[in-house]
Amino acid sequence: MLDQLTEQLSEHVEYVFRSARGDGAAWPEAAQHYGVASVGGDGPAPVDEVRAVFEELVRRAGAHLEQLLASGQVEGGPRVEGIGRRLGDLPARETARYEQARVDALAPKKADVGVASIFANAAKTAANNPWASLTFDRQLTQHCASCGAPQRQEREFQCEYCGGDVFRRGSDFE
Amino acid sequence: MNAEEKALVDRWRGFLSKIDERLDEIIQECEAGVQGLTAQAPDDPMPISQAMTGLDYRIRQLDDKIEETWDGQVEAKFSDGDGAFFDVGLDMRRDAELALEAKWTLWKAKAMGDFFRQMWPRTQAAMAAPIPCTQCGSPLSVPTPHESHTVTCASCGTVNQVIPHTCIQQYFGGGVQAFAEERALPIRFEIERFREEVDRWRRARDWAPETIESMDRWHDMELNYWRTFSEMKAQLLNAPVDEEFIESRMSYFRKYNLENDQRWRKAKGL
Repeated sequence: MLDQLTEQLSEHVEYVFRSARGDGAAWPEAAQHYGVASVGGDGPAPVDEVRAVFEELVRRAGAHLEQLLASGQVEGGPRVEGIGRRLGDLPARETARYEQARVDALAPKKADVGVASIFANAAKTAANNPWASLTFDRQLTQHCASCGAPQRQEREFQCEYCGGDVFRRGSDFE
Repeated sequence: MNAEEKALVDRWRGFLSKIDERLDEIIQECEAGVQGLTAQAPDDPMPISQAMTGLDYRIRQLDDKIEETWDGQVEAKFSDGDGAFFDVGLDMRRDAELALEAKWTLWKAKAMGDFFRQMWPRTQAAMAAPIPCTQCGSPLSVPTPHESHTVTCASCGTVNQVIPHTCIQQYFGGGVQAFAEERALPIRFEIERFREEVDRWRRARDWAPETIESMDRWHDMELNYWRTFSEMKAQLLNAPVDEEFIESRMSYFRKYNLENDQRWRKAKGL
């Protein structure tokens, strides 16, 4: 029973931690799950909300441990005392870990000394260039807009058959 | 040079060698990167050109490193000796900078040349492929397959506007330019080296003016660069050498490098 309790506690801590950092479930929903109201918004969760969630998590875990002891499913002893100590400093410890993670995320990233990223970026952006997927006819012949006859004389734009225009007159030309 | 000065020279040389080694490493990595991009887009030079822009910045960082180290840590130490010793350190720096620029620029030129060379079999096949008339399907006679033409069909008389295959356009556009640069660029760096030697010659003579013969040699080297470049283009395009282009480049060179020197003007009767 105690193994199950500590395992679940670790899972909850990780769930809260990841949601707070923005790597997991949305923070407002995660906070709500522990009965903590969140001001919401994008980005990392506010530190005081994260601390409140950890405190609530500890309160629930402590209550569950009390129930197990009261029902006789577990007996007191060094192990239970150890879990009690862990619960006691969990909010402060995990909140500090979260604050450090936020600071680390803001720190400038180490410079990339290799050139692989440059080639990867070039390969990726090249595929996005507007000409990459452009197709067009490499050959074309102008036709009379009136009778459809092909142009027969270079730079002659009057159809030799019907006298019509060997191009389309329209708003583009007027 | 005393033992202390010799040790300083060795340390400075060691640092500059490290920069050169780093450049070699980058070039080695680039070889693989260029091969990858070529395999991905064998007829499109755009990805490699984009990568080169990013790589140029990486190489500039090496150049900046030389400058920062000289300014911050080395210059003061070489200044402790006499003027000649200071020049030793300064010349080593300049030699390293010139070598770095030459090695990188020549590698880039070769990489672009290699890219366009691998296009040749497909370019050749595209040029050999018959171009049928849009109206009757008879093969058209296109005088120069690497250029756009208006061709009248010999069979039915229909006027066809013919644009070369993309592969052909790339090869005879960017490719020809790349091959010409690859051929001529070593001359550009010979000129750079020559100018550096002229500066050192003048410095050793209390900044005496450059001789007219030396300036004439500079002129000839510059002319050789543009002529080599233009002849290569002409050869590849099967066209006459663009003398007008060469003269346009040389007129700028003369205007800003020679004709503003009164001694040279007088010697040339200007």
